Amino acid sequence: MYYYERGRRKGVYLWIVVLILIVIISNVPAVKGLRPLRAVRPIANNILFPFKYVFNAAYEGSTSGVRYFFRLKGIQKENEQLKNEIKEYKANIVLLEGLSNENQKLRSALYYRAKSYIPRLLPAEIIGRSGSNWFNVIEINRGSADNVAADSAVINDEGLVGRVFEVSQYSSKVLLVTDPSSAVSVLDAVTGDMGIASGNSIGPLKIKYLSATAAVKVGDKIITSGMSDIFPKGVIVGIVISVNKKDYDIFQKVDVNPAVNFSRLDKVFVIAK
Amino acid sequence: MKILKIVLSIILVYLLQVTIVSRLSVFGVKADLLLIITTLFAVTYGAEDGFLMGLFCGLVQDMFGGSFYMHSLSKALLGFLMGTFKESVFGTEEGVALTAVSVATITNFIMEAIFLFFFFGRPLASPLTLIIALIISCLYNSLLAPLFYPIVKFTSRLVMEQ
Repeated sequence: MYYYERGRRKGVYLWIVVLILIVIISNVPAVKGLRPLRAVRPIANNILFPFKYVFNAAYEGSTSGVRYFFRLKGIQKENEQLKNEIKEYKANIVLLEGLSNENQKLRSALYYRAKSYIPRLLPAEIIGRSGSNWFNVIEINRGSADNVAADSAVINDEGLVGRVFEVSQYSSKVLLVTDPSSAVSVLDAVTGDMGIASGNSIGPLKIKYLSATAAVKVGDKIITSGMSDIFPKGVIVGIVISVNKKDYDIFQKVDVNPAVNFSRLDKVFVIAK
Repeated sequence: MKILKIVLSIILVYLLQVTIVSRLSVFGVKADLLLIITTLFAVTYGAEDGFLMGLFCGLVQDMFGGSFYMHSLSKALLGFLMGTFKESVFGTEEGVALTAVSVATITNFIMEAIFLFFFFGRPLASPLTLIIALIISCLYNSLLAPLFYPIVKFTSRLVMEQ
């Protein structure tokens, strides 16, 4: 019995060494593309897709019932408010159409070659979120079957959500702007100063490489700069909540509260390429 | 058959983790059901079985999402360490076993931070954010553990003794 236990313990030590070697070898640049799990993952995700859908629907069903019960009281008032908002939006659309026509006339008068870019928005539902605290990732119910491609931007009615980084047939994974490995080229909508917004897992986004001379203020709106091929220009990223400027620094530190409430995120739009 | 049952149970827990538990975050920090199960299994059955449970949990996590091999290594090591500590530090009392989940959360957090930073070269959140996240996840996992302890004991007894 003692020798059996000792044998098993030795086997475990051997496995640990093998696992460490696999992790180290799999990160050697020449071998990175050969990671076997990368090939298995889309198939595995396709198998789990219907189950995730069912679990999600069950959760949504149970919580929306409870939410509906609590919101029943204020629903008439909310309905009235929404009707008024729709009227306001309709009026704004008429105004914007007028401005758009005027803009086009002026552009043609100046022989200006505008980029004819009208984004196509693909609505998607969230069917899963990363189980780990290290990754700020969501999974949506749109994949290559819906023409979703890697590096497509993802937004919602509040602002920028993130970008697609992994595509399976029926689902895709989206790296949220709150992830520490995410980097978005942004600018201050008021001053036009540019920087790179990256996540901090929980809490506000950080803006890096923002010049110390930039006149960024608390309350300024931060939007995408359109400098990359991934994110279109002008999507709201967040609002500046703190500015930390030191005399001897080349860059200033700016914290931005994300425009999107990630804890209540349920529906998003993929900007199809 | 026994292995198949264990793997299916782990996949079920993983589904719960990514669809429901991940939505119930506290200040953005999620509970880790697979960590809780690996730890409780390890303190109940010892280092070798804890290692295998951790390896399966980590493989499922790595196969369906997350990062490559990091969870397989960290969870397998965690199962082994918790099982080893159980013999020398924790004893077998249920209450003592549950404190193992707090220790496991801290151990796992440190291991994954090291793997992510040194093996994968991934940028991490600021130190203050990491400390806050660690404290919250430690409390969250420990509070959830009592709910899972009887389930783990019951199901693992069924699976192991068949």
